[in-house]
Amino acid sequence: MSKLILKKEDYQKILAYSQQHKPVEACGIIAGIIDQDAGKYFSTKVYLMENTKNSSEHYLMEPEEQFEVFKDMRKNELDFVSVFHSHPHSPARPSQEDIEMANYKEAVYLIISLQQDQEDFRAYLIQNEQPEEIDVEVVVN
Amino acid sequence: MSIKITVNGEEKEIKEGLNLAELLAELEVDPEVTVVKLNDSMVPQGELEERKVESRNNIEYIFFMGGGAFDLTEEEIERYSRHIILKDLGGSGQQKIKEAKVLVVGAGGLGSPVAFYLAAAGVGTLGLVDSDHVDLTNLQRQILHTTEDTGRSKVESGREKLEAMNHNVDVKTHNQYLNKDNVETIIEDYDIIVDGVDNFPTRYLLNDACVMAGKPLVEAGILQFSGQLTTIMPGEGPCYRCIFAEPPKEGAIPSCQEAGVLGAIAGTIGTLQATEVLKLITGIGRPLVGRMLVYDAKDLSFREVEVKRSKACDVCGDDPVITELMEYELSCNLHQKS
Repeated sequence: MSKLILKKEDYQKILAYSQQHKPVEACGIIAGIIDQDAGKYFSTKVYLMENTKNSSEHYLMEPEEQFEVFKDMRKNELDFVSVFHSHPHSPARPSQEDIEMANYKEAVYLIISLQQDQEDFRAYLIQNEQPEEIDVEVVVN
Repeated sequence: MSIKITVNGEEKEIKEGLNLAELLAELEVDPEVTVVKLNDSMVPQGELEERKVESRNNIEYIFFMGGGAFDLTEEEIERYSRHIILKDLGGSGQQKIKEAKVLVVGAGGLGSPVAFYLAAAGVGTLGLVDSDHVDLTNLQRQILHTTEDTGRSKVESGREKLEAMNHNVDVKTHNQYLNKDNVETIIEDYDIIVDGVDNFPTRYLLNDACVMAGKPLVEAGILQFSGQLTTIMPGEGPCYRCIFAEPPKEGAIPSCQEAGVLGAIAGTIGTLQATEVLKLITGIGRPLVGRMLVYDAKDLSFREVEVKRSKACDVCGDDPVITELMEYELSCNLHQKS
């Protein structure tokens, strides 16, 4: 099974950003290294992005900000690993809109649910509008 | 001739003379979800065809990154939270329930629990068909209505209770007796139809109309201490006529008015109908297609009977003889009263 492997500090950074934006959805991009053969996606850098929708039910990243992130990833020779966003009031499962807008077939879509007291991180590969859940592991460097 | 360009930081050699729209097509990129930059300037989607790609151009593109939780309000998220936390249902299932349009034919014994549970579940549009008025003899089982409603139109009384239950539901009333001239118009705006009628002419009419319109029909009937239920999915499983080709002869089966019914049975069977509707909306589980559930309250037992599509069925068989809607004569003045 494929696995998203988050550095503990990246996990904490994403969680803090999501909590800080609640009740609005937070979003961002994770860069790192993809080991395609082993199905492992390692995080090494997190980009916190603006949610232009500023909504508790939707997110949309700013294209100009996305261009900058991709440029930075190329400069640092990092793979594009994952797109993350939070669900402040609902489970960590992709909604129909998430599925329809999963335009990066090679990326992991990470959803952080803040619905319960305990946060829930779940990751999916979404191809042909079919989400397949993969493992999430948090590692201490 | 070919030219060299850079695409997302990688050098590429492409045919000369392409415009940006053609380049995206070559790269198998959907322009609808893409933002393109040519030499550091954003290119509006409408101008992709006008912009020629030239040697040494630097092209970058990204796909929109976005999504959403659900189109549910804060109040709805809280109201339906016990649904949303169900793993099989979730927010997307609740969204489907919100978008669904369900017609309940008969605002009586079966229609009451069906409509109550569907309204509580958040079905976005709920239609009620009934031409009858509330009678004191209805109240032992028709829980949509109260003693104070006696004499009122059933659909109006029903609408009031359903709106009080859940203001998010759009309740549409059809204060009409269903007949062959109005049934097609009434059902056309709905995704799923629920049969809560108590007479055979309307039951057959509704079956035929749903088969012809290709609408799922959650069919049920109750009498005395028993009830039965099946889901008719036109084209997939048997219709009511496949199971019972013709209405029973007059007097062969008494009505509830003649033979009585234990009120709570309407609740049991009507609630199962509501469950079937919610399963059909969300795609959860296995619908009761090709199966009939028979309930015996005295024994408190359920029995499942396999029912098959009939090639000789008059309405959905290989050579249907009913190609236009028809009505059987109603032998007593029951109409859609349950």
